[in-house]
Amino acid sequence: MSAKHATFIHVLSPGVMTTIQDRGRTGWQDHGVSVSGAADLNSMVVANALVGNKLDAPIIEFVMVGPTLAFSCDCVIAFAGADFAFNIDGNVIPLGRPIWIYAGARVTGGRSSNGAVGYLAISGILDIHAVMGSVATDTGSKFGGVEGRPLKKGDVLAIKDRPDNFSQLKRMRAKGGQPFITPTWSVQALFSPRGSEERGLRFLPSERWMSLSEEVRQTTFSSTYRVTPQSNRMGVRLSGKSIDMRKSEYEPSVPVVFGVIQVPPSGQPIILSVDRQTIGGYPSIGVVASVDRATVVQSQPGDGIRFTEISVKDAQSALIKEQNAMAELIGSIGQRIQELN
Amino acid sequence: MIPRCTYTPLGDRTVLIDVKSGDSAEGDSVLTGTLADKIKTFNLRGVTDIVPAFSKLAVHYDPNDWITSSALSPFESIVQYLVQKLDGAELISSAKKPQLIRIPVCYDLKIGLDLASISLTLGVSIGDVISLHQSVVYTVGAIGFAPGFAYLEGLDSALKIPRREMPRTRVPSGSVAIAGGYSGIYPSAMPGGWHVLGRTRMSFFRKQGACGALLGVGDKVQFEAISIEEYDVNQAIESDL
Repeated sequence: MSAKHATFIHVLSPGVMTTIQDRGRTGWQDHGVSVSGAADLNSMVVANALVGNKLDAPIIEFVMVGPTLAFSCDCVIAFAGADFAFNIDGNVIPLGRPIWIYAGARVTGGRSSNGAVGYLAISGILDIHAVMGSVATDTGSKFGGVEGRPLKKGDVLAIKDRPDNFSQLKRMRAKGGQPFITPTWSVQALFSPRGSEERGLRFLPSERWMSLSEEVRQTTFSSTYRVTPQSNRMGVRLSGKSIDMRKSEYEPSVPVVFGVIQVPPSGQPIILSVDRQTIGGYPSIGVVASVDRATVVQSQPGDGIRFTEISVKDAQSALIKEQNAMAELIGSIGQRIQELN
Repeated sequence: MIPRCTYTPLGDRTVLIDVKSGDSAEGDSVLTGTLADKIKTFNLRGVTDIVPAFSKLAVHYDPNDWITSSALSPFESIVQYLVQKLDGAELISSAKKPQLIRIPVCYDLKIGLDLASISLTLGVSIGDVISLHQSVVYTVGAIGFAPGFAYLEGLDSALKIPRREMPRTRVPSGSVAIAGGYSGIYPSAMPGGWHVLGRTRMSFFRKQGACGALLGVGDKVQFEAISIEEYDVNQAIESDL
């Protein structure tokens, strides 16, 4: 693999809502600009680490159905997040490993089985024009990524600055005979979306929630809410026992964040996700703890959710613990990558 | 002016500040915008966004940057710091005067798409709708809904009207509109449910170069009518969105 030749990725089939993302467009919310970015940030970071990229390098995200892509040159790629059963000519590509693929390889994604969003990282830099410091695709405002829209059939992505690494895999390539080359280890065992039937979702209660009657709160806690097919990157829509927020005076919009659980007049909650607007007018019962972010974005239509409360103190110590565990995981991936160079 | 603030967690990565002015002649939005500018000057570690909206102000931070040796949680640490820094701060005297932005608007019936229907619904003549809309100095209460979209407070109560029952799939860029007691300007073409009174050629949001929103919370805005001829020859740069 030489850094001199440009690599092109041809989109043969776009999958569903396949976009270029990164950590998101922070710093512009007071201008009304959504943050966007990778829905499952931990999976994005893991995929980038596996190919030796910077952790917030541009990455390809897909939802429910994966794309089919053709590569013009040998490349090292990695998948993380939900399992989309990606394969080359029917040979399933494992998640959570660096994979050396050959020039001309056609990588085909299927339906996701254990979550909703997946990530493909490619060693090198996806050549995407940054808007306001980020390549994240914001389909609402139509900027970032490729023309501010999901990828479509016929799009061509370029990879620049391809590093000349993974020489161990290159050596194995010389033997030939395999659809792709990969080490035997995988980090998927250490890290995978939680794929249970019913998921607990911890939230930090709002003042409005605390002012509701004990009965309303208990009913909400004892109910299972189902994720509906109307869910998208703006919000995860739930259906279940209606939450009575009691009628109130007109309320002006307030700043919102990822995980705000809005309750519109229908009483059916909506959890604001990555493409949320910066302010919102519906009353909210609280905000999902950051450690449960993956649970929110990886939930599929039909999945059940149960709400429980968490204090800001507990939510923050859980988050810091998770960040430390992630740092450790990234460190160990880095070591394994080194051994392949 | 000394604001009275209360601090609550908006999730585990954001402090929501409720800003109360009490004795102020200025609206809450001016104070909230001023407070946001003040907090920006602190260059707080791990803070990515400071977002004012009406009487609320969100400070987005990374809890990892606010771990202290004390028993305080990161939320308690950043709030303690903010309280100390803002204690007794005289905000208005130290802040820049809010800018007054004059916006030329063409209220011609050809582009004032809803002038006729508003006139009917409210029982106010088209001429009066246009002059009432220009009769006040508005305050930017919030930026949101779309990049650069400003919610303008101060609309004459005679023009209070709910959103259109059927939102338009495409409201043209620069449309000056009203709904829910606010006036607003569409910085780019997008779907929307506000009633369109006219259009301006001013640019309110840029994503390239000196990018961002033209207006900020607390700014003052006044509309000035121009003729369709002036509107056509107006050379102001179109939004690059």
